[in-house]
Amino acid sequence: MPSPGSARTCFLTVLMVLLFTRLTQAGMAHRDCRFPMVFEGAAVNVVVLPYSYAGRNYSLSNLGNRLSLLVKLDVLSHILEYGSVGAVQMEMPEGVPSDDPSCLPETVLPILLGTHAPNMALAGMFANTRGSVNALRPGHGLVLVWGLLYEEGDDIFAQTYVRFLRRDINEAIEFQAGGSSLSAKPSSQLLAFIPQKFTQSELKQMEDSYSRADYVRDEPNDSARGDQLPQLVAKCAGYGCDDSPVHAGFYVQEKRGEWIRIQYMDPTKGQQKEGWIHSAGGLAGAPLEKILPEIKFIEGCAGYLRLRVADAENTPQMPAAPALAVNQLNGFVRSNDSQPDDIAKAVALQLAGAVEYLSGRGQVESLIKAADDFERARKMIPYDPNAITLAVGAQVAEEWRQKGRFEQTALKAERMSAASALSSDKAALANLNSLYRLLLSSPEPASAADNLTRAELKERMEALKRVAAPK
Amino acid sequence: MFQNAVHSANWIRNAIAAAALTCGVAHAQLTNCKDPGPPDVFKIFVDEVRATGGSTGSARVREKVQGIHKFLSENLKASSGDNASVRDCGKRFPSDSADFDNKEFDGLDNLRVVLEVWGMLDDPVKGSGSLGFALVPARPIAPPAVYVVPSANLLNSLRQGKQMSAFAPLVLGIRQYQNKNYADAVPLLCAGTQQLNSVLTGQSALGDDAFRTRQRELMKKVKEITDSAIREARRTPGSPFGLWNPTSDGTFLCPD
Repeated sequence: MPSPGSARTCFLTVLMVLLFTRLTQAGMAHRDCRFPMVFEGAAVNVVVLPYSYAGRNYSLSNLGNRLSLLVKLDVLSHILEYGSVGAVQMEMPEGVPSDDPSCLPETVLPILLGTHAPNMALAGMFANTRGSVNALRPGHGLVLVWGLLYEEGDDIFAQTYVRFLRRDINEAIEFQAGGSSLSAKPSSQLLAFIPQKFTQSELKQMEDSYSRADYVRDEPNDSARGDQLPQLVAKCAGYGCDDSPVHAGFYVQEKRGEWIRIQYMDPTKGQQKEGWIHSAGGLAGAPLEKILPEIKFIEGCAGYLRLRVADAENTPQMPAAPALAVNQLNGFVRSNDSQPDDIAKAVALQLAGAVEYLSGRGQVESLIKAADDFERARKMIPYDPNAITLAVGAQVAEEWRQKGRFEQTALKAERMSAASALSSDKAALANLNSLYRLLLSSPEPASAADNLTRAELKERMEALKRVAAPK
Repeated sequence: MFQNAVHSANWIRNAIAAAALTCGVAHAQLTNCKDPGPPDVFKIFVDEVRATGGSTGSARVREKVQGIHKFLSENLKASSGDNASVRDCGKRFPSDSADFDNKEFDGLDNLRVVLEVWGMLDDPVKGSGSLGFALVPARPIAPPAVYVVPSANLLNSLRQGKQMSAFAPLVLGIRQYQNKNYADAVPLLCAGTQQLNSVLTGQSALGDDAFRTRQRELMKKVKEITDSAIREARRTPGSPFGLWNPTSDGTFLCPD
């Protein structure tokens, strides 16, 4: 006979599953850059712009669109567990001049943030956009992805860029200890990743994967009957051409291995349709992230933002989501071992630490892991004031929770003093003040070595007062 | 006879002037940047990337050099952030490092240009070539402050090396120091120092021995400037740099 506790757990699990299946898990493919859209209901949208190519080689320009679709589908299939996520792939239709700036991140981002209106003259050609809007809802998250392609001999290199944010909200993480708080944000929200090489055979594999992924099939099988995802190419070069229901977005119903089952509305027939997309086919059976490890970063970053949105909106989060996000971010860090001082790697560790810290709810094990992640990030970019504050803040929270006092207070004070000088942010001085107050109110450290005396602390606080209120 | 001597002296003077003018014309190969940007912001000039040798005209080579140019521009934008505006200088291209003479540096300085970058693809098949960097604010401290980095594989070096990421904060920091904006200079100098150190060490250390030796000399100067910038910043009443303590030997160092 099941215990009342296990029955309650079972009930809650069913409730959670029902709740989360109602949340948005949606995608758009071949969206026209000239009229950007995101899913209004999604807490986090991942928007992938085409990888651009500087030359006039048509096959390479086309490759940029293909790669962006594969990245978008692969990411979508790996972030479904977060619930309430959307993924959009954008491109320019053939026939639009190559110097048209519509697909540039500096054009798309202001529209998605609502600071710049889209060209409403184009609105008529993009009707029937179910659940999608031009701008993110305030507080909702965005991972914007774009890239460059260039040739070297027979090989092609792809360099990915990522910008992540929540609309109108700053990404500060607050550490609590003994009634005081220290806060800092990730060291950068715009990252350039190391260019990755595609050999000729991998390019061929990419073509094959694209051919498979660009279909909605009746069954999760590459040989099943299917309809090609409608292309913007040629068909949508002019106005009034966006009649495709898939451009208006599809909703993911289920994931089965490398496949996702989608549902979309066919407005011409008024029918709700379903089908399968081979979204995570990788290249010749190998995951796409083997070549583009930054995909793991994008996925983990979406998980981080999803957690922050859930926290801010006080809505539940899938129980397994934090572990998944940490795993994806650590996967990126491990794959990037050849770059010891890479800022992308440091930021990945900071996001993993933030997920550990925020989801751990004060548990010692989570605090230890978070402090370790933040300290590893600090060692990679020791000059960065946010990296310093995140590391010290997490150490302080961990030590307070474990021992109720602090060790190596001289080092902590030195680092935070440097951070307050290196930062142009006034919050850095508030952080230093919080640290001193906390140290002053906490019990004496176990040993005098490496620690500030009360007199030294008071002296530093006096010096800080002179800084905070200059004459 | 005296008249002949005067005439002769004038002729020689004129010949020297003509020769000097010719040299001046030769140096004037460095055309103006086609898009120098607004006057009030710091700028990074990205010149043309050129292919040398016989295959310069092929479409494939042109696409390759365009790709390198775009790569340079995008990565400089990412590494300089809001601190500087990256400008596409069209056909501007130095024929020789000596094109960057004092006059050219003064002109760049007046335009608030902190860094100028160009590239040469010598062998499009092998990918060998070189990248040039003119670190405008560094000229007074480490003249001539023009570095041409040879590479057996240009794109490979660009991919692995982070020199562009390092140079951008470094030159911006030096410029802020020269402008006596000491508090603004220190974070940039610290970021540039750390990044340039990683470029000069390890298995994928950039450039040849001569380049690395010159870079280490530059680093030594930058460390001195950083120490000086922190000391100067501490003089301002109420500056948070007053909270920063020196090391045991009395110098101020970036956090490590």
